[in-house]
Amino acid sequence: MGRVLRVAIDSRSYWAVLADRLARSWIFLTQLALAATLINPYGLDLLIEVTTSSGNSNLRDVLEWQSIRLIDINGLLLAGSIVTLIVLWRHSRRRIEPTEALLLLMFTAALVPAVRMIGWYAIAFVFALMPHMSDVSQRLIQRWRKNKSQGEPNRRFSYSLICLLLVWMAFALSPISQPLLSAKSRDPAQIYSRQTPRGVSQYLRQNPPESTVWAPQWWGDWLIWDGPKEMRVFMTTNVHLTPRQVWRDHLRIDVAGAGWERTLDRYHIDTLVLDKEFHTALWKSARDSASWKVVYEDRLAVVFTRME
Amino acid sequence: MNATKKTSTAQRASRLGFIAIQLVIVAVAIGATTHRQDELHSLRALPAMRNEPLRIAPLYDYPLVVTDEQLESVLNKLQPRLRGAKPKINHVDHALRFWGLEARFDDPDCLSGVEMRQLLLDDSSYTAVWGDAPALLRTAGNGLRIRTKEGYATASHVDHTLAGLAEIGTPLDFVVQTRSGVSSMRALLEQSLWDFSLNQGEYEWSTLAYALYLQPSDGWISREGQRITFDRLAGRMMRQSYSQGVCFGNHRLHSLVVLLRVDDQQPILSPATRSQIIEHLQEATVRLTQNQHLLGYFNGHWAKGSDLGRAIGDEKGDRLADRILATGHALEWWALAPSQTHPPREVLFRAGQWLCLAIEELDEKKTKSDYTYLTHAGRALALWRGRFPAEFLGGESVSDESLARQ
Repeated sequence: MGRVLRVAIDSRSYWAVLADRLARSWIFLTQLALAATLINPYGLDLLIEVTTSSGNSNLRDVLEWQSIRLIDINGLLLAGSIVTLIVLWRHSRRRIEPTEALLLLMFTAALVPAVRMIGWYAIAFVFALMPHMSDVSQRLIQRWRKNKSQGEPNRRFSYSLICLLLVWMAFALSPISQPLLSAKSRDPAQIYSRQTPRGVSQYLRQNPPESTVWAPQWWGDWLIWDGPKEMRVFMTTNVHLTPRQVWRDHLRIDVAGAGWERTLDRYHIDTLVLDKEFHTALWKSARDSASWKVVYEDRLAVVFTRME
Repeated sequence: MNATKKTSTAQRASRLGFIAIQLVIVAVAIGATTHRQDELHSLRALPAMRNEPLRIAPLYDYPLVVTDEQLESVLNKLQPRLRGAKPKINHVDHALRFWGLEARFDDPDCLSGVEMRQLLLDDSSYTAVWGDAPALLRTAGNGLRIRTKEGYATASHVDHTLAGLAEIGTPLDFVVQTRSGVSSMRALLEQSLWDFSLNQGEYEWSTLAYALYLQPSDGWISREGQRITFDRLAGRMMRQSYSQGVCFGNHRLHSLVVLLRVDDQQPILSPATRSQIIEHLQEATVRLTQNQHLLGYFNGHWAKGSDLGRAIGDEKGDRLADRILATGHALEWWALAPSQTHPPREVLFRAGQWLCLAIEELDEKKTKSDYTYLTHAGRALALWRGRFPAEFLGGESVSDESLARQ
């Protein structure tokens, strides 16, 4: 689209766009890329699902699907990126390509209603940023060299070796190098973040629950993956696949809302896994309830089961 | 000049060719997407329905549960004296289910079965008694809903009226007169199916209505994208602890029994689910038997045992109304259930006799206030004599054609 716009602006003619080989190539390539996404087990259904699932009302309750707010860290990063671009554009002698403008507009429009798009926005931002940063930095370097000396800059092979050494050091010291450089596999503590409830999944493997387990949705996927084989959890991160009533009930339990115990009864849930950092109200309510007892606790989580 | 002209022609042809290709690509993309969306939409089509609902007939005739004289006395006491202004709609739909369409009474204060149905499905009859209350029947697009849980002028449970109408044999092409025009029973059923969520608070009556009206199929996709089958509905009903749900959980048991009986007529359950239901009902029977009072009644604590932590408080579960409710409901679903789920006959006899005596002793005020519970009790006692209540009091079996003319 960027190429199309560039040709249209330069030639002031839409016919010229049709004649431009590069524009045509990009159009065909885009269509081919889209067609390639159909090569998946669900075919066209995947694209239909992608376009419709973002409208799921359950997602409104999930932080990453909420609108960006300027007072949050994400909002500040967005604002900072816009300011950076404005400054660079002001000083850059390179013209702003329609592609860059379109990418920024598109991903900003995607980011504003759903903060989860910030990762994609970052890619578009870097793509738009780098040509101008390159232009500005080259001119700054040239100016600096002029002030220092009149001659050509020195080029030495040793500089390349130093760069390679730095790259190697970064690789060798990173955790990913261990399995490649030595036979020793990494300790799970090195692989998983400190927020991963490994202790809980280990406990559940040793004491498999018979009925569905209630756990925070952000732990649901982990517990399915690392817990006992047949275990079922109430919620995973597939919030958009959850019936609205079930999601509401999950939220009610999440905050120990009125009737939370009755709701657990309705789903025949006999095991509760709580995130100590987030479930302070539910933790207190379960602790104070005559129906639940603590069976496991660590730094991160606490597990309750129903009293006999 | 010629070369320039040829180049220009070639360029023009190339552009036109490009446009043509793009038009084809876009047309194919739109066509394929539209076609697939239509296919996905058709997957969510409602299941096939039968016009006449299935009937679940009584199976047993045990005079020791209730004698002819006792039954006559109970039924006379429980006649639907609902004529007059503003009869509670939940009383009307309970009474209709209890007495059936064929019921006619000499008492001028009583509504006949036909009149009760008319009150529920004809807005002019409803308005005649409820005046300027909002309509009971609400249109929703092509569908129809019954106002529920909005006070005395409305039904008391989700799809309770629909299920009752199904149980008395209302066909789907039965004409329903709403405030905004003519509709049909089918519109009520379809709207219920569209609205249905597997985890909605009350689903027992919806399940019952679907069992009676739907043809066997591999289920349907709910508005939330879940595939609903009778196996799944049964699993949902068996998931909760025994005493949970309306009327101390008895309506779930009743609906499970109806699923079994429908499955006898046409397969709607897998063999595994059928076995699970029978085991579930047998376990319920064990608990009822263990917790039957010496006098013969059950109460809100009938499911005690492993449900101890979930039992309702003593005072609330053991009032006379609670005892009538629990005993009447248990007898009702047992009356329709396979005998392998029955308790020892002594349990049945004691429960039936207690119920007869308890109803006999009720004053008019109590009879009126607890009428909905009493309809289940009265129906249960009639079923244990192998008949529906109206048949016992000499009600004629009236055809739909003659009913429609009334």
